Amino acid sequence: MPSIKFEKVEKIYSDNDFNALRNINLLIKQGEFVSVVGRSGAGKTTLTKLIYAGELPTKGDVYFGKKNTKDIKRKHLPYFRRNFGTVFQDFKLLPHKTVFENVAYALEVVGVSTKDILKEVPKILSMVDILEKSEEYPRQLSGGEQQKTALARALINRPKVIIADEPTGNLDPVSSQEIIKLLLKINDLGTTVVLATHDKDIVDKAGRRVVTLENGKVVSDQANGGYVI
Amino acid sequence: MKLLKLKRSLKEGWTVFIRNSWLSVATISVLFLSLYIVGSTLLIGMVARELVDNIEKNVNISVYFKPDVSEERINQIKDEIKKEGKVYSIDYISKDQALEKFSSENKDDPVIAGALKEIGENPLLSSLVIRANNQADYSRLAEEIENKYKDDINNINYGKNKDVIEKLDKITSSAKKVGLILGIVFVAIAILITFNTIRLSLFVRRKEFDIMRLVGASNLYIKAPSIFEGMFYGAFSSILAILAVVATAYTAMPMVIKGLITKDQIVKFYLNNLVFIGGVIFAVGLLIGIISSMIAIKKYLKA
Repeated sequence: MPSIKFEKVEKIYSDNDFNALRNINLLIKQGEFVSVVGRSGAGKTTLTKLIYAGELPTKGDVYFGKKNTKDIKRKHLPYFRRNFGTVFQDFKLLPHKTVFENVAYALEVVGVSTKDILKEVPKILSMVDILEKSEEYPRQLSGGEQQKTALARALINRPKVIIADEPTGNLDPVSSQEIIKLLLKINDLGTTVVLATHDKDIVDKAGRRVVTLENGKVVSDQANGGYVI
Repeated sequence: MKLLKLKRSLKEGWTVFIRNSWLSVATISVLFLSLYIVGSTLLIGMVARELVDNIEKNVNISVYFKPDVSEERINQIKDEIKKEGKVYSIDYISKDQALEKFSSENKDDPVIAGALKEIGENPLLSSLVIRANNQADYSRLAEEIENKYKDDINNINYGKNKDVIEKLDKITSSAKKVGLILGIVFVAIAILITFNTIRLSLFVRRKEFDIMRLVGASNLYIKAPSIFEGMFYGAFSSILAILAVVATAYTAMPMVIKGLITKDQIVKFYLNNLVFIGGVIFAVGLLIGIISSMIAIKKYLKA
């Protein structure tokens, strides 16, 4: 089972010389639920991007299993990404596709047959409780419903890791709780979850491992933590 | 699986084409206008050439004989001219045949019919109609015949057409040059505008490409629908342009060239050539659509 390993990772954005991460050493085992917390600009998003090779470290190495993200060729990147399901604050749904089509797209790109798509998509949609909206377009949905759709899409390929970057940032408290509950449920089924957030309530609710970042450094790493800043 | 992806890309391209209807209409309008201009230029050029060919084919020397020259003498002259070897065809038209042709051509004109009746006898002359193998031989041939058979000939009809032909030649050769330059300019404009419109349509959706890549779509799988989309732009605008060119060919064009060529001839010309013009428009349209998309999408698929 692939784990995620950061070794002496440093990330400096070249366009503005911003030192986003400094000397990060981190091991996330398969099946863990890790909340990465910190203020805006602390390096949470950068840390999550490094995992799925959305960014590459300036120094040090990031491994997924035995694979160093630095060694992935650009043309193999889409295939590498299929190990991860990603969820973002701004949902990143395709606006011209319905809920069903958005989720189905993730299966289409890997070449799943139409028959299986018709079977799998409703299953996952009912799991995140959005099945009744499957023919609607993202603009017709509430934030919570859009995020559920995004989550369904992230899950449909049974990824090894779910990366959620501020998934509740645009949601009301009730919807936020629903999303976190879903993430916990997914984690119970064996999927690694990396949750980046600055929402104290949901971290406390999750009650799992918490990694706290400040100015690009890990300042605390607690096995069963709460929000410390 | 490759076929499945191709099918999906095609469907995806079609869906985007339909759901982005506003941009599709804009792109198609621009491409349609450009293709129409290119197609009409081609049409005008080909019709002009056909007209010149037609007129050149009708160039001949008509030698009219004095009324008292016998048919035997005319046939003798015909054989002598034939022996020179420069002529392509030489036809004898007796005064009776000439009258018959003249009457049938003017049968709807009561004044001419009345005038013929008034005269009573056949006022026309027997003639030889000569066509040369070579355009350049005409003036010399006419001169030679005129000198040799001075006593038998009433008049020789050649000079009349000569100026017209030379003028037409000049006009068509410069029209061809202008048409070619215009055609190239319009194709260039069409490519630029279509390219920009498609790029705009992709620019609007640039964030979607990032999302697609995030979800695990390979570059080719992101690219393919856009290329099909470009193909649809090309196909639809060229079909519209073909219809417009055909409409022009059958409505506006006959008005312009009225009298220069018969209706049957122009219809026959169209049947032979409109398919070619249509094919050119369709091919150019498809190519512009596909190539513009391919270049435009490249920009949004970096890293």
